[in-house]
Amino acid sequence: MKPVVDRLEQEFKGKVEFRVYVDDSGPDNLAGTLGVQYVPTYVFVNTDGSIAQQVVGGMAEEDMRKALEALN
Amino acid sequence: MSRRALHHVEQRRGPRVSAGRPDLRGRELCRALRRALRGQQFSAERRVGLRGPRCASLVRGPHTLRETSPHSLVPCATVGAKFAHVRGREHSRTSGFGGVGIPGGVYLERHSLSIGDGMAGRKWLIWGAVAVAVAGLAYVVSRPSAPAAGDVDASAFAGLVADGVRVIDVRTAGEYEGGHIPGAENVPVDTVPQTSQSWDKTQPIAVYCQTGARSANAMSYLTGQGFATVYNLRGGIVEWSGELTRGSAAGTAAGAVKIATNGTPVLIDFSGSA
Repeated sequence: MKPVVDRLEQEFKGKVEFRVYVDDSGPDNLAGTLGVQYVPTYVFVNTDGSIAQQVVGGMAEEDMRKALEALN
Repeated sequence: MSRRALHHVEQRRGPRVSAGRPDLRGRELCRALRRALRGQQFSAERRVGLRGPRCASLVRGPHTLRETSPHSLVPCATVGAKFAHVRGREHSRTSGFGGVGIPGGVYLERHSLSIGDGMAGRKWLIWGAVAVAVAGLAYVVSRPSAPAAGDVDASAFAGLVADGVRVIDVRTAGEYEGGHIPGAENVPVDTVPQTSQSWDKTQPIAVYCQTGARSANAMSYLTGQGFATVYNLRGGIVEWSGELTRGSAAGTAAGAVKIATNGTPVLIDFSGSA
């Protein structure tokens, strides 16, 4: 998935921020809060901070592009 | 004639008290006399005595009954001692006091003397027990009506849901989608340790699962983590008789989370690759 994600990152540069999760194990770790259990998991977040979608497992490039475009 | 014959006075006057004890002797008799004569008006100097093989005199005030020898009867009478003739019912018609008039003497029929002091210690015990029972009852009645944390039945759980307590469905997402309690959040039980770290521990939490087993585990885990009030639906959603909502979570724990953004949407990549 990495090449796909990199490609999409280039495509949506400036429009969508791509964050790579860094393991921040502790009481408030993001993975725990979101209930992320499996890798890869992609969390699509709207501008207002609410979670639009949470996808577990690999996605087709087209699906990921669609999800990114759907973000507001 | 009874050995306890005394000089007779004023047969009509005499206290009548309840619950007789015909077998009273000695010190117990004195005590009974004290009680029997308690209502009598005595001046400070007057004494009460009774004649018999052992005589005793009663002094008003601290009620002491003092042994008096039979020979001092008359001298006692002259200084104002009061005499009581204690006798059994069979002698009630005979004249007491040996026919000698003694002013203020009373008759006490043995069978009519109350025991009194035998119950003194026990009375406190009984009152103490009553007080404890009343206090216990008052405590139970005054307890707040919210159910104690722990297992609750379906109707109490429905009350909690109606009160707006946070409801967590610890089943898998598939089970949740099949039907869950309206307003419940889906946090599968194996994610509870991670997800609950961000929860407010003072807030009451109600958990349930299919049959109550997984949620009991979740409840004991949460309680061990210091959550103040955790309720578990005994018997699970099987016991739930209210409505169920179908479909995937609109209010999952994740949905309630807000991610900090910088003005643009974000894709968070949990793929673990740097």
